Amino acid sequence: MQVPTLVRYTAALAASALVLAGCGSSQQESGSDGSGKKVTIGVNFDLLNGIRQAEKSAIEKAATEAGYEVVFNVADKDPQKQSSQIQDLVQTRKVDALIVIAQDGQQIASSVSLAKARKVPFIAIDRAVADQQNITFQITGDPVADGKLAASEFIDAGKTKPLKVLELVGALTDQNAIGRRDGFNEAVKGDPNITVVSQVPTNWDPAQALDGTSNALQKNPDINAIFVPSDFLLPSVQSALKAAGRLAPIGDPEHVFLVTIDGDQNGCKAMKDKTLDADIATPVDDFGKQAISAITTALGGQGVSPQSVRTEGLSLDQANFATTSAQVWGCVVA
Amino acid sequence: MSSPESVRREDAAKASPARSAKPVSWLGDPDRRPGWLTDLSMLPALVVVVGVLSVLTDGMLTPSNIVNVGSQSAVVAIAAIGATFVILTGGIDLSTGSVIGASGVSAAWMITSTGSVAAGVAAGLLTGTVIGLVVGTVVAKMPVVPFAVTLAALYVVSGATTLLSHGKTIAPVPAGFIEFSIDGPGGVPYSVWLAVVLYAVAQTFLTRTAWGRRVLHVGANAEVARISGVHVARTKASVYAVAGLFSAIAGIVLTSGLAGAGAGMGGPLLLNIVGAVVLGGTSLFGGRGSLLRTAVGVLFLGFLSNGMSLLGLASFDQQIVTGAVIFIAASADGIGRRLRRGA
Amino acid sequence: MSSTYQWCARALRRQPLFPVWLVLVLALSGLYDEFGTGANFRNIAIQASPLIIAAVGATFVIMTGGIDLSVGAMLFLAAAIESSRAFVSAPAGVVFAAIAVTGLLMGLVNGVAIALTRVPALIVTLASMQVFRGAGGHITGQQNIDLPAHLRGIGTGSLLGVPAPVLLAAVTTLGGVLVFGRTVFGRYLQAIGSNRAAALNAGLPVRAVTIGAYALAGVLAALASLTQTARLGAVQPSIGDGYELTVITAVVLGGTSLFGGRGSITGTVLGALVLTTAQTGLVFSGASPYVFDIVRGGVLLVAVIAAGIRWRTLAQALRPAAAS
Repeated sequence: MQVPTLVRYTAALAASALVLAGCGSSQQESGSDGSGKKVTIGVNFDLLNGIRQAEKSAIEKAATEAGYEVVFNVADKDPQKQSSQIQDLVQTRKVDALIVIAQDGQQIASSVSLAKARKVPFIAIDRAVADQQNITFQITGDPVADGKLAASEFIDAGKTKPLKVLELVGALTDQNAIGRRDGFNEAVKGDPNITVVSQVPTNWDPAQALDGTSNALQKNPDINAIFVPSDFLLPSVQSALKAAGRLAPIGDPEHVFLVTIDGDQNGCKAMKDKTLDADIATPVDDFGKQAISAITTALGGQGVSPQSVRTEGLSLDQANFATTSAQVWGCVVA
Repeated sequence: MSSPESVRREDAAKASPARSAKPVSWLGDPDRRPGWLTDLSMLPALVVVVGVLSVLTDGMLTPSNIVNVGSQSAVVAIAAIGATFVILTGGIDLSTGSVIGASGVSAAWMITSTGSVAAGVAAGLLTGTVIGLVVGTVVAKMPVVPFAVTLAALYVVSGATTLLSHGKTIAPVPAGFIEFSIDGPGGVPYSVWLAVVLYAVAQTFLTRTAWGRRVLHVGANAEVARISGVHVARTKASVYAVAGLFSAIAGIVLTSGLAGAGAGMGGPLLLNIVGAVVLGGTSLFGGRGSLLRTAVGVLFLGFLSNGMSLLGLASFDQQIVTGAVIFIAASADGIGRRLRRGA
Repeated sequence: MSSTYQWCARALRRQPLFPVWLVLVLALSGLYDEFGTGANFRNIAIQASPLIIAAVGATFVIMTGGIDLSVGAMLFLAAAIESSRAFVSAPAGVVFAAIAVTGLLMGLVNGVAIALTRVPALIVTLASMQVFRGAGGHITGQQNIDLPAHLRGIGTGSLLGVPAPVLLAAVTTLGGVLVFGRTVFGRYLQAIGSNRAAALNAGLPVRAVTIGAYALAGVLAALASLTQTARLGAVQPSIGDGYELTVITAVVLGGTSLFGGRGSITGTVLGALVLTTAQTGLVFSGASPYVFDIVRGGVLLVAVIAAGIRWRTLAQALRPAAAS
C-alpha cells in the first residue's frame, strides 16, 4: 500500500515539472513582465485563425508604436472561458485596458460590467457587443454594409449577363454572418438581373461549404454566380466548382462570378490570379490603430468620441485592383 | 471505458478469488487507508501544481484570485457532481454539455418572458431533470451502452435547443440574477457557496444513504448487486436523472455568470467535467470514487487553467500541457491500481 | 428462387442497415428530381470518402473494446504537417509518406499508452486529443494555409472516371475487409474484443494487437485528413473539430458494438453512407442545418436500440454456455 502513494507523488512531481517546462518557455515570450511602469493591455480573442492573426498583429503593431505592452489570450470559442480569462486579466494581472473580440455579443455583458467596476477601459473590436452604454469604445466592421457592397458587385455584373446566384451563409448564430446575409439580400431584392436560386448554410465550416456548394451546383446546374461571405470558404467553393467541372478563370464564358468578404492573403492571391472577381476587405489595420488610440484617450481620463465606430469594408475588384490593393491587409502582408 | 462490462468481466476473471473474497469498497477495504485520505490522493499533485504556478506568476495565491478560481470553476464543479454519480455506476454521460445549454436557454427564456427568476429556475431544473430521466430510462431499460445513448442525446438536445432558440443568445436577464455569480457573503459569489453546499449534500447522499450505497454497489458489480436485491435498472435511471438535475443547476449558474444563455455555451465544458471526475480519482469502471475526489479534480483543472492564463501561455501550449497533465495523473491512478492488485 | 431468398435473408440479418439506406435513397430520389442522378450519387460518394476512411480505422479500435476520441485532432495535426513549409514543393508521394508516418506515430502514441499503462482509452485519447491539437496549432500558427495545386489534385482528380477520394475510400474498405476477415491480426482483434481475459489466457499477443489497432486507426485518420484537406484546398484551424463523434456515430450505426468483439467494416461503410446521404437530403430539402443534429441523434438512438435488442436475445442464448 506504500507503492501507489509513491507512484502518485511521482506523478504529481512529473506533472508539475511538465508545467514548469511549459511555462519556462513562455516566460521568455512574454518578456519583461513588471519591469518599469509600462501600460499593459489585455487582449482576448474568441478564437485564432487567419483574420484573427491579422487583427492581433495590427493591435500589436499599434501598441508597440504607443509604447504599450500586450498580454494575449484566446478563449477557443468558449464564452465561459472568455469570461474567466478576462477576469484573470482584470483582477489578477491588473491590466490597464482591455481589447476584446467577443465570442458572443450578449454573453460578454458580465465581463463588460467587471471592467467598468474596476475602471478598466473596455474596447470591443470586430464583433459588436450588446451592452453599448458600458463599454469605452467599439470598432467593428459593418456586416450589413459589407453585404450590400458585395451585392453591388453582383448588380454591376448582372447588367451584362443575368446572374443566378448561390448564396453561402456563415453560422446562423453569428451576427456578422446574419448581417452579411441580410445586407446582401436587401440590396439584390428587386433587381431584375439577379436571382438568388439557393441559400446554403455553412456554419462557418469549410467542409460544409464544400459539400453544400457541390450539392447546390448539382441541384441547380444553371448557377453562374456565388456569394461567399468569407475568404476562408473560397478554397472550398473553388474545389466544388472544380469537381463539378465548372472552374474557369475570369474572361472565360464558363466563369462563375465570385465575390467574397475579408480581404485576406488567400483572397488577394485569388484576385491576382484572376479567379476571384471581387473581395470586400475588412479594415483590420483600422481596428488596431483606433483601438489603441481609444485606450490612450481613455487612460488620459477623457471619454472616447464617437464611442462606436462601424467601418465599411473596401471594395476590391478587378477594375480597381492596381490602385486599391495596397490598402488591403491581405495584399500587404503577402 | 466504452466497455465497462467487458473490462469488469475481465477483472472478475483475472482476480476472481481474491476480489470476491474482498468486501466491496463501500464496506471499507481493510488494506486501505481511511476513505477520506484515499479520496485526497490527488491533493499532493494539486498542491505541487499550484505551488509551481504561484512561483511563476504574480498574484496566483492572492485571496481575490483564489475566489476567482472558485467562481470560474463553479459551473464545472456543479455539473461534475452529476457526472461523478454516473461514472460511479460505470456509465458515462456525454450529453452533460448539451443539457447545460438546454436548461440555461429554457431558464433564460422563461425569465425574459415572465420576468420571474423563480419561474426561470423551475423551468431550467425541469428541463434538465426530464432530459436526464429520459436518457436514464433508455440506458437502464435498453441493452445499450451509455456512451452511444448519451452521444445520441448530445446531438438531439443541442440540435433542438439551437433550433428552438433560433441560434440566438437569450438575454438580458435581471441584474439580481447576474449578481448571483459576482457577489455574495464574504466577497465570495453565491455560485461558489452553492457549489460547496451541493458537494457537502452530495457526498452525504453518497456515503450515508441507501441510494448512495446502491449506486456504489451497482458500479462495483451490477450482477452481484442484482442478486443481493438492488433494483439495478432503477438505480441506473436515477443516476442519469440526478446528472440531468445537476447539469440544469450548472446551466442556470452559467446563465447567471454570462448574463444570458445560448445553446452552444455548455458544449466546450464536457471535457473539463469528465476530466475533473477522472482526474480526481473516480474510476471509469465504476464502484470506486467520491465527490471529494471530484472536488480536487475540479480545483486541479481550475488552477491549471487559471495559472496558464495568467502566464499568458499560447492557447495551443495550454492544450498540450492540459493533455499531458491529464494523462500523467490518470496513469498514476492506473499504475497504482495495478500494483495494488498485483501485491 | 428460395436460395436467392435465403441469401437475401442472411444478408439482411447481417447488414440490417442496407435496406435502411436503400429506402432513404429511394425516398429522397422520389422527393427531389435532381437527387436520383448519377452525378449526385458521385457527389455523395466523394463526400462520404474521408468519413469512410477514418471510420474504418475507428472500427478496428472499437472492435478491441477501445475508443479513439483523438480522431479529429489527428486529422488536424496530419493536415498541419501536410501544409507545413517543408512540403510546399515536395512531390505528392513524399507528402503522402510523411502524412502516413505522422498518422502511424500518433496512433502508436495512443496504442502504446493504452496497451502499456491500462489507463482507459477514453482518457488517453482525451488527453492525446489536446496534445495533437496543440501541436497542430504550433505548426500552423493557427493560420489558414492554402495547399499547393498538386496536392489539391488528390481531392479533385480522378482515375478512369473514378474520383480520387472514392478510390482511396474503396481501397481502404477493401483492405479493411481483408485485414479484418482474412488475417490473423483480424481474428485476434475479434477475440480480444469479445473476451480480453480469455485472449490473454490463450496466449494471444493482446498488447501488440491493441497497439496495432490504434496505429492503423492513426494511419487511416491521416489518410482521411489528406483526402479531406485536398478536397478543401486549404488547411484551417477548425479542421476535424468534433469529427471524432461523427466517426464514432458512423461506426456504431454500422452495427459495431462499443463493447468490442462484434462488428464489420461493411457496416461502418454503410453507416458513413447513411449519414452522408441524410445530410445531402437535408440540403436538398432546405431544412435548417440544426435539424441534421436531431436527425443523426435520432437515427443513432434507433440503431443502437435495434442492435441492442438483438444482442440481448443473443446474450441470453449464450449465457448458460458462458457461465459453465
